[in-house]
Amino acid sequence: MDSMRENDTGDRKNDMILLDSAEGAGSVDAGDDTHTEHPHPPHQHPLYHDSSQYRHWRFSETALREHRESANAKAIALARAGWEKEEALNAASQSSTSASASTAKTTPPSTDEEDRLIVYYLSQVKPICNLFQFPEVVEASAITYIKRVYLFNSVMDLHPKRVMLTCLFIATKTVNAPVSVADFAKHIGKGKISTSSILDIEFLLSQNLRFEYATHPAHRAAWGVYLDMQSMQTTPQQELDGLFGEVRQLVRMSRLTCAELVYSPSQIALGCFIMANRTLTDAYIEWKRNAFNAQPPPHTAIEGVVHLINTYKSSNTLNKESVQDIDRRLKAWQDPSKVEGTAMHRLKQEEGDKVDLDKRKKRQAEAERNDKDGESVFGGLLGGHITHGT
Amino acid sequence: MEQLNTAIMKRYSKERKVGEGTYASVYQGHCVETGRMVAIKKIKIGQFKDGLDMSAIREVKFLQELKHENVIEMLDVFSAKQNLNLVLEFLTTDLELIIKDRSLIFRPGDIKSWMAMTLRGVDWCHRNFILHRDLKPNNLLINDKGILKVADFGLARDVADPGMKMTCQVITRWYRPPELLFGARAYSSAVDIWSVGCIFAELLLRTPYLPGENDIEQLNTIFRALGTPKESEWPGHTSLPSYIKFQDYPKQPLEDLFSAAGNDAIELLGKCLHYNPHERISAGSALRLPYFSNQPKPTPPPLLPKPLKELEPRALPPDAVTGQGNNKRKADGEQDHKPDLRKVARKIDFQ
Repeated sequence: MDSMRENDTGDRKNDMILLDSAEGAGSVDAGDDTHTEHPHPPHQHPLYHDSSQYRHWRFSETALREHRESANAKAIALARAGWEKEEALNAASQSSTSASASTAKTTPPSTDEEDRLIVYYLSQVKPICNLFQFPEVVEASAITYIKRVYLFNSVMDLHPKRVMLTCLFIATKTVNAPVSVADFAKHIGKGKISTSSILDIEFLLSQNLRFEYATHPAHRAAWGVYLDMQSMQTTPQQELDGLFGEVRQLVRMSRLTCAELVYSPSQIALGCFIMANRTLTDAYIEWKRNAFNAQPPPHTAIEGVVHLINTYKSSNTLNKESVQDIDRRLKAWQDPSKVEGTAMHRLKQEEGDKVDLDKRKKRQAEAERNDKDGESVFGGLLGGHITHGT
Repeated sequence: MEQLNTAIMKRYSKERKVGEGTYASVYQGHCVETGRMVAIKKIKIGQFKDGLDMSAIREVKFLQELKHENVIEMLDVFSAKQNLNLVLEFLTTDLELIIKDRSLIFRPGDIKSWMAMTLRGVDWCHRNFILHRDLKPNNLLINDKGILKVADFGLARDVADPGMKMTCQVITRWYRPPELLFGARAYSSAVDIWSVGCIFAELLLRTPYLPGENDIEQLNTIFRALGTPKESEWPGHTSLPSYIKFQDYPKQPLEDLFSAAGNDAIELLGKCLHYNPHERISAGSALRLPYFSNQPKPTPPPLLPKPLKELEPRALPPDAVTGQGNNKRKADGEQDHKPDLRKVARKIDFQ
């Protein structure tokens, strides 16, 4: 049965390569994030184009940058306004809280710095996966989720450590490698991580992922190319194995770049193969063209992938000290209503309690009015929800 | 994202509850803008100790990706409080209710039509490398125009990477193939095809074809009906993890039991219920068998028999399962990959 599986996987990747390259040039070169303008390939509609990854999670690098900058600016504005209000509240009540408006003293993290902090936490996924002996697809999916969450959120909104752990926990479930949250927290944190810190934002993050859990990771596409190259029968197996080992490392590195938000899995895979052995990869592309009538992949996409990986390689992104500095500054730029001990935090809680109380009263009144079919599909059951927690 | 969610939520109205289970409730409703009738499946979360439930995650994950006429369509997803709401197309009945409705008479073309729609839906799943793992008449829903849709993806998964183990505790027992009953941990889309074969037989017989009372009895039932497989017929099956030797039942021609079915129907049935999973027919090839192009033509969906009764509130899994006597689903607590935590020795410090 195993041999069948292998063939299946190989075939799937062949499809993707053929199909992506037929269309890829349009979406990559267009330089925008609307995919609607591209003409569909005349003869066939690739399955990959039905995937949520293709429909919702591909952007131009420019668009990516804009989303990240806008999330950064929004979070800064929110923190600034929050701390001003905090000061006003403190002045009014003449009580000084332990937290003070630290925004005045520190520079907020820039978009670039946010990216570096995120990449640092992305790089922490692998050691945890090794610890649990998770398959590679867990690691790949978790990393994809983290990047998608931070498309429209700033690290100031949600700390990347927490996002990383929760995304990883979600990934264990979405790819069929579940562990209990208790074991998960225990083995990672040695008592320092609470299960609730993971579970509390699971739903929120899923919302940010639009409940689109399916991912198409590049390492699968690379595996497909590797199987394909075996059927070419031009290169000794040993040499191919060595090459594939190198490619796997490059694919791993590509996960720490934005490549997967810009390019298709097969483009990333081919980019990595080109980096490892250009001659053989060119021969492979030629073979696919001749034997399967596949259009060659868009040059710009492949070179774009190579460029992203090379840029990552030459940078010093994972320098721990600089990351710690960013982390320290981001703490000063959190929305004070999310920081415990602030007047804003108390205010928000009081408001929240009041809202809950109002809703409960309203619900009671409703229940009395209407004893049948009183349950609302849009999340009524407030009473039930509240009592559940106690 | 918050705004997007609210916008989606406002697109739909809900009117009445049509199903209730411990895991979810289903409401009938409308799309406010188009007036299209929808079913809203509200999944209660926040009650499980490990957060979002696996079957909810599976269902959402796969329905987000699958768009096909013969697969239930998920129009939207939104969240409200700690509830996950799946907006699904509204389907009025299911194949189990139709099979059980004794007032309905099936013509050969009707069965062919249901089979064609089932196989098209299953083929679409398999082409997307998704195994359904719970095909049975109850999970084949039918809309008011007679179109059949594969539904309930709570046990579905992607085809596993080579070398990865999958759980064999899937598929409702009567529809479960022998390789799973023998404990195979590597399997393929062929598991779903066996289920399709059982469904085909049930359509012909109007009663479940292979109703085993427990897992061992299930194998016994299969072998009594189809003959105990020889090693030559299904190489390797004797070395499957839970293999045990069974009494040597002789092979009986399918024609004997399915006397009213034509040769082309028997061919399809035999190829779906083929022991060796490697040789079992694929959904795509099954659709190209003569059965589907021979006379009579498949009945156009609007002309298919349908129950006169209004759809009653339907129990949802897992309640639906426990209510069915011996036909129990054992597919809970799936653990396709189990990390060995005893080996975890060191702590990781990433702060």
